[in-house]
Amino acid sequence: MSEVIIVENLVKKYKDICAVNDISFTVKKGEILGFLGPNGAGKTTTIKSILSLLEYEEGRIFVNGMDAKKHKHKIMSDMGAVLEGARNIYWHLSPDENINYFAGIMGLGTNKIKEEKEYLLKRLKLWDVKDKEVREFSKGMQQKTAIAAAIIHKPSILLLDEPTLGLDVETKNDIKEWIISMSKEQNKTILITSHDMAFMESICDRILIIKKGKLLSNNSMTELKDMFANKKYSITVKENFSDSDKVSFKDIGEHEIIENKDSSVLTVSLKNSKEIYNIFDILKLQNKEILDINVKENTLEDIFTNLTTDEVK
Amino acid sequence: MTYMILIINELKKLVKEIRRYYFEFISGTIVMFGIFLALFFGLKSFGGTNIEATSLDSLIIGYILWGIAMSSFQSISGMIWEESQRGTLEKLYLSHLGIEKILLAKVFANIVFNIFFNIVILFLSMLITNRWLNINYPYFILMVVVSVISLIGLGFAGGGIAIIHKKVISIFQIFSFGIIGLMALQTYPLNIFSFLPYIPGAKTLIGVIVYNQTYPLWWYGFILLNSLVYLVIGLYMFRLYDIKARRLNKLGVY
Repeated sequence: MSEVIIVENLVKKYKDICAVNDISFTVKKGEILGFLGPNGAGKTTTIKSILSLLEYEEGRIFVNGMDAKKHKHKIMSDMGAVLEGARNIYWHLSPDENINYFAGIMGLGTNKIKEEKEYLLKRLKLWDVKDKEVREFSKGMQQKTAIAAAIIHKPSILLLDEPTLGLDVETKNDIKEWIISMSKEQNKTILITSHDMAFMESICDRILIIKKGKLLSNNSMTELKDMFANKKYSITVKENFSDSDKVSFKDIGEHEIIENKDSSVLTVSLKNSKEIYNIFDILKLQNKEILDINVKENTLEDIFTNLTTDEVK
Repeated sequence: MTYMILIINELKKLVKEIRRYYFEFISGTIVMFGIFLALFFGLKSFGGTNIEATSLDSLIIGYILWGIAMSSFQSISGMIWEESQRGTLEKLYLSHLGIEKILLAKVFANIVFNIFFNIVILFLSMLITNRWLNINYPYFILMVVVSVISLIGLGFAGGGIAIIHKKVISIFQIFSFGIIGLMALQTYPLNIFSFLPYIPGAKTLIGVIVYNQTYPLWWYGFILLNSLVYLVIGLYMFRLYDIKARRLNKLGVY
């Protein structure tokens, strides 16, 4: 896959505050790249820099091989963007009128977009309300209208800044399906920021984690999970552990015992799942009755928490 | 061709907005026309029989020219400010055609509409006051367009400033009313006031329509040059403020 966005040593400062501090990454054609980070991490600043909505102090950005600073207008013909916040469209216009208007500012007359507009309105379930004012819509429908207006000129690169913020589950799923289909069926390149870890985990090929303007991680989902591949086992046994029982767990690594009235829960994090047999052996020797076993894999949220609280591990 | 698509796009949006908010449009028109009638009949009753016919004619044409000036200047600076407040300004920046081209198309569409609207008001004013001015409409429209170019320049500069300093827009509204006072100044023959924006063209129109005056060709050249200088300065200032806004991340902050 060729690289369609290249960000090299990007630095953006607001007076003394460094919003983005020497960030470099690339986005490959057809890839869905997620941008994760807490509020104020520098995600939106990076996206706006790629779109030339911000003047950055240092670094270079290339889009489709063109220097974004030198060709700030030209690069936009192949990019579409939905920015953070609800005001990406005109609320006093309908979805149909908004799409026509934003196609117009891309130099496209209404005749040229007829088929694409119909496809988008139907695909995003806006066809039945296409003539209603957007102000009457739910946040989800407004967001769908903004997406349709942003891609009416069929860009191959799409930048979505917090597209699921404040949306209900059904709309979130609609948008998720649609993003995946755009990447898989139309080979569009998508750069997306979101606070919704489950959403990001379900759609992204690769994730960048950013905090205080610094890039903490740039890995595929598989690589990220491998980095934190430990599985968490919670074994509930009848009765509490004696002090001598507890001593026998000292060699099994990171573990925790929570004691209840008639039972105890031993929680242990293991990289190699076969190590669980050692624990079973110990429990067998202690003659403990196992009441329940729970296994939990690391989610993106766990990985994100690990990275953003402890910096790079 | 691209400009045509952009202008038609803006005109369509404008018409849709008026159709959707026809009540606001009609009430705004009634207020504007009501102020004119109050001024006209006030002047007539206070002036009594001593009032010169040319004063009443000047009032009619002057009011229309002020209306065009005010709506043109405000439509540009106000439009840029409003887009920035709405959060849609950044979206306009995302066009490969460039923000200046899009804003110029918006401005052109607004001015075409303003001129058409004010000609209708002019006709209604003449009908109600029963004072029929001898107007050469192609000359009138051409002179208005040439003169308004200077206000487009000022509007761009004002819009640029308003992106950074949001509250400055109220000062611009006061400036629009200040144009009334400026229209009392003599701009011909050439003097310091001839270098003001819009006023030389507006005064020339009043001179031709009301007082049947004639002006040399160089004077029209001067009016055009005056307008172009203001346009270039305005666009340059807009560009400077645009760079500043992008440096400070002010385009989408509302």
